[in-house]
Amino acid sequence: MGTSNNGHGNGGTNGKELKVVGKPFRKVDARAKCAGQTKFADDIVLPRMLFAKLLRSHEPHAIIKSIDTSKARALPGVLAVITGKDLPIPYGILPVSQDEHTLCLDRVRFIGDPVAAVAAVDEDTAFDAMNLIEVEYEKLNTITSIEEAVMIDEPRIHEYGDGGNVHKKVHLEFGDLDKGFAEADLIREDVFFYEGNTHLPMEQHAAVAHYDPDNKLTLWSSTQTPHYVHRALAKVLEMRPAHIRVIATPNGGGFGGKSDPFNHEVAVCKLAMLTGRPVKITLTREEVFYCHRGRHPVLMKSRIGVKKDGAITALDFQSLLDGGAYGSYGVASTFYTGALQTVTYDVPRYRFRGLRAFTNKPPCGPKRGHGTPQPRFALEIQLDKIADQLNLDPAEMRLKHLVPPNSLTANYLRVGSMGLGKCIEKIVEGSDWKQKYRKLPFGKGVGIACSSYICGAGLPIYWNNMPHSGVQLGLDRQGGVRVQCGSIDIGQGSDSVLAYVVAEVLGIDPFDIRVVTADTDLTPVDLGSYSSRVTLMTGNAALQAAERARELLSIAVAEKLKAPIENLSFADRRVFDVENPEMGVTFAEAVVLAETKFGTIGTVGSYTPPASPGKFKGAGVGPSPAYSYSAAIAEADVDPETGIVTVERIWIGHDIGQSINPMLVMGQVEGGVYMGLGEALMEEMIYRANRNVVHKFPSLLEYKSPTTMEMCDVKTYLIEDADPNGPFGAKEVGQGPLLPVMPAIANAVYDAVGVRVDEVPITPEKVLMALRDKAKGKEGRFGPKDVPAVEWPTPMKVQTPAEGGDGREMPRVAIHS
Amino acid sequence: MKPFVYSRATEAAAAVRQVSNERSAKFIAGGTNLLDLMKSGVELPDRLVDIARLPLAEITALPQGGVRIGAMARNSTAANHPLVRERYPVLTQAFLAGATGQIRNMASVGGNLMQRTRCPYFYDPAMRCNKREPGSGCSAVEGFNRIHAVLGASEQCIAVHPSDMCVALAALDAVVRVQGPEGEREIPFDDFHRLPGDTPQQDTNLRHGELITAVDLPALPFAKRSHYLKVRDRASYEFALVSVAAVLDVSGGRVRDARVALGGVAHKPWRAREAEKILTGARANEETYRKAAEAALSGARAYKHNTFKIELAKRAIVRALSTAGGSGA
Amino acid sequence: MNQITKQKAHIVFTLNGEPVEVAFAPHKTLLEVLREDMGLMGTKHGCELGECGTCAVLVDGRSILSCLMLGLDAEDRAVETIEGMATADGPHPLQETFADTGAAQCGYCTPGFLLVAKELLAHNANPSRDEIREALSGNLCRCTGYIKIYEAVELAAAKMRGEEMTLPKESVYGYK
Repeated sequence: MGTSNNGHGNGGTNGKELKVVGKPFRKVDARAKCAGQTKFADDIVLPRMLFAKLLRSHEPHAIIKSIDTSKARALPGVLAVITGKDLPIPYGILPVSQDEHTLCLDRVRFIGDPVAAVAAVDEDTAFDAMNLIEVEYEKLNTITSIEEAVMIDEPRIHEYGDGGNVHKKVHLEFGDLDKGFAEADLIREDVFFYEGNTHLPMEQHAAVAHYDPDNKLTLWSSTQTPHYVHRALAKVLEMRPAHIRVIATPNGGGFGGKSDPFNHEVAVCKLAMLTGRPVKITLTREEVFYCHRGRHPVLMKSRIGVKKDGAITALDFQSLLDGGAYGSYGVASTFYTGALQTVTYDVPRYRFRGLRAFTNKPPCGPKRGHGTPQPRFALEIQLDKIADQLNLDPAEMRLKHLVPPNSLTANYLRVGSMGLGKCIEKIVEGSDWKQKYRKLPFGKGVGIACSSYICGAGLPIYWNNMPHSGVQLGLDRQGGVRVQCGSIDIGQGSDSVLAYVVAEVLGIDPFDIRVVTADTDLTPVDLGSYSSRVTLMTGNAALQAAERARELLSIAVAEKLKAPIENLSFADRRVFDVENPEMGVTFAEAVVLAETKFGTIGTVGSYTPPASPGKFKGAGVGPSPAYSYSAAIAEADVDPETGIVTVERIWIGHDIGQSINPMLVMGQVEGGVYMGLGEALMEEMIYRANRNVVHKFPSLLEYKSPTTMEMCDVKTYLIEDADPNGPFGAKEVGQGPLLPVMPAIANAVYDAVGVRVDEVPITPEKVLMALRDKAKGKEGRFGPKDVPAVEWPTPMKVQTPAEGGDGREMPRVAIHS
Repeated sequence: MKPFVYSRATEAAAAVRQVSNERSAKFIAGGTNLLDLMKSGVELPDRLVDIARLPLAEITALPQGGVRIGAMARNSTAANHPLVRERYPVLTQAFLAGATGQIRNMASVGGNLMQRTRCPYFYDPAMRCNKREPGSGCSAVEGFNRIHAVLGASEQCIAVHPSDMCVALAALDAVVRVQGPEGEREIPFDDFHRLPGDTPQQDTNLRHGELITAVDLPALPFAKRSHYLKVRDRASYEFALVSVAAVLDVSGGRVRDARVALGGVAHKPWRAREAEKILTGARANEETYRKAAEAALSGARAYKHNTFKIELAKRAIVRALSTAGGSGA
Repeated sequence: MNQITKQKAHIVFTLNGEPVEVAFAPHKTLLEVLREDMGLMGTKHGCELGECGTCAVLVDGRSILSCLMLGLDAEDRAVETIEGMATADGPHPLQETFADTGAAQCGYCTPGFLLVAKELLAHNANPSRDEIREALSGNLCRCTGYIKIYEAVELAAAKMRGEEMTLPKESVYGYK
């Protein structure tokens, strides 16, 4: 049940029991979704609307010699054709990698890179016109893999970065690694590979632009980040931001794939401005694969030192990311492949080296768990190997060495509430782990893994000291409440969270509230639906706005009732004296009283995360107001004849802090497990032979995602241990529960048939190869052998808190040996 | 999709006439494969003759114990028809292993026979493909060929036939009844689909304008003991990596008669006659099944990414025979 | 060729119980006719190649993929879309339970699931979990992991049988 959490987290409710928070309310928009009435971007139709198409490159890497659009322009029904020259200003999600153009200027960098855009009276005409554009290319050599990018400097895919085709190199060192390894009883070195995969939202990206006669531009788009699209449009179109309005339509699934500003969004704006008519674009499923921004393929090497009881003494972790053709979130992704290795088990000394390479493939970016599933996969399998070697129970070993709550990690991440121990205990008990681990018959096995995720990034993409989330409340004298926020509902229920929080504080029904979100004209900035930030950040902003409104109403009602303010309670659409509950007014009357006293009632709330303790360069990625924790046990069946892995069931414990709505939390956990299952067993963005740059058949048929027939049974345990920074104690759930699934399954495969597949997806072929390897008397492993040699920069050394560090970089000259 | 002229046929002879008269005319029934290919720019017919409403959807018992399935019967209807379920369980299983419920509700039996390969290079007009554009070359031979053929392929084409239904029909010695401009004829199932050879553009021996009217299943009492095994990457929306239709007549611990056909391994549903020879008269046990499996794949040749199929096919044959043969009683 | 493109076809069919007439280019799929020519945006598309189930609608009571059916093939048939599921008496029980259990997250695949589930319950008033799984195996969902969808179908089936049923506590609050 939604237990009361007085004294924990934000959101004191004057002693009353929670009425909305913690209860399984329907989502505020659920009925419309089930009636087919939710308006997604492609459902918008405006009078005289044109349709746009993008001509995409068939070359993976080439100079554009010439583009001839004359035949396309001459086709009846075509109203505009644009190319790179029409939009020469670059953009990109991160300030440090503004490396994209709406349409390629002089060079294409992957198959699918757009070179021209057409607007025509209908989709068929736009399609025909697109095919009439003639592009002459001069082919360039391609860079197709991490290894090639590290080895081959020319041709450079981009003229910036850390040399050749390396986009970014990072080298951070926290504490005395040598000492740590010297203390170890066992040192292991393992290599892992995590294949890239993609979000595959069921809705293809779509956008509609309208440029009105007063020179104002409106863009409706299926984006997770209207604020950043707004910034990009202003920059590329050289318009005043005040003249641009971006409205994010409900996303038909996001998972991170709609978090970048995209070519098609800028292109339809430009085409609308040129033609004076509304312009729509809806990407085909094939094009969605080219937008990508999905999980980076990451090659990893982990060197770890442990004591006999499994206590980690030092961790030296390397990750090499295949970034694809553009920067996207890649610099952040690179840091994220290192940042969160320290927040689950005590890692006293830690070194992280990360490299992101440019390759001629669709750009990688943030997918659910951004940068964390890959290193977590490596660490959790490595710990399983260690437990095996030390003859320890891997669940108990993990339990023993948890990061304590309210502590600071070696890399200066502030851990607040920490419920991982309870997660492990629950699933160990629920799954009957002790009776299964190493005890099931050949072909059946169990595996355990844990993880943690941020509840919003501690720093914004554009560094500033402004709030990350803002909420405005308007109270109507007839009792209506309007909540406005820039956040965007991508299916996770963020609109509902706003309503629940405000309803709880004001004692009204969540369905009384009108939620207005994701419109840059009407709503205060929220940075977007990414990094699992919305529940905590918009929740806190909504809480503040609602509490301020409650205060105004309380003053006015107290005066009327002649009761002390602190006696007032808001519940059941009433404001009343708790000592004399009959003494009260309706909520609408309360608003009338307040409006009479103060004038129109509107309040604001905002949220800015606490300052991060780390002060070194690179400390911006990893800090968060709170960390969620998850632990999973997978039970798998492995057919040694076919190599097919069937996951029967997953037990998962998730430390949610406090459920704002447990039913929606369960849905996120189950959805996360589902997506993790897909990544573990079948999903991969792979590229065909013949130069390894053409996508392997960009279709829903060939990109394997789990159907109902593959989905496993899920037993979920919610750990509610309120976090002081969360609204009502709440933490995230959208991303965390995916993370332990892949390594838990890999560990279960080992328990089942005694072979290690040290990469995902764990396909039948790989299992068979590992079994064959074992049958030959070898290690019984499938996975990468090593990582390419990299010339790493001089490390940035930071003393750990335990060593007396202050979170700043140590002077380089003094410590360089 | 490229525009076309559409007409709906009310009688078979008219439909045959309309298509025969125009080189780039095509029949359309369920449309589940043809529309897909038209959207991808692989098929570009100028005229479509809709045959879905022709009175060819009946499923009836034949005098000698066989069953006739009208070409316009929907896959889901045929799969669940009592005559099919009772007499040819392997065919019901094969139907239900194909595609998804919605597609089975749409797809006709005749159309299923005409399914074209799922070789992704065939589907992508930007790539070379001898099947789509004869003489242009085969992208799959040097490309990503995990799903491709290990039996009966040619230099020109290594695509595989995608149908599940057809694998069962091959095992059951079905006969395809067609109506053409010159009248009706019957095509034994083995002669219906072709190996690629030098003409991979031709999937079948059907002549232009010939209309499939029905599929006849001869009486095969022991078909009650049969099994269709499909190995695939996921259990829905998935074509077979390897599939096996096995029909066994076992008594007294011996195999009296056997039918084995394979899917996912060749340009046509592959009847494994060498395996059947080994099975017939042998003891119904795993050793026999293994020998049969070895024989079935003896001529196999793998490409870079599909080596696994050979071993997988053998294991699938053994498992399908074991299931069909039961305890061997 | 021009004559091919410009000539619109005109058909009559039953849409959500009402007779309708519509004219459209003959090469359009039922999906396009519904969305573009009839303004019914409730039918969604995920691939338009028959690979996801998002565009499923009922034709003569059977679920089909509207992206793989010519609009012309709807002539004289009865088509049911998500817009036709609710009646004057209120939402269909499936629509209620999908909303109440959180079976619709982003909601994009939801119309397709609802119609296929409706077809299932028309033939099987009390389907087992495995029967539901099988029946819905042609619809992809990336949000839910399908579990809340199964639960919603079970609840709706019970409701339609006139039985009282609530979700087990563990489905809402998790195990303890």
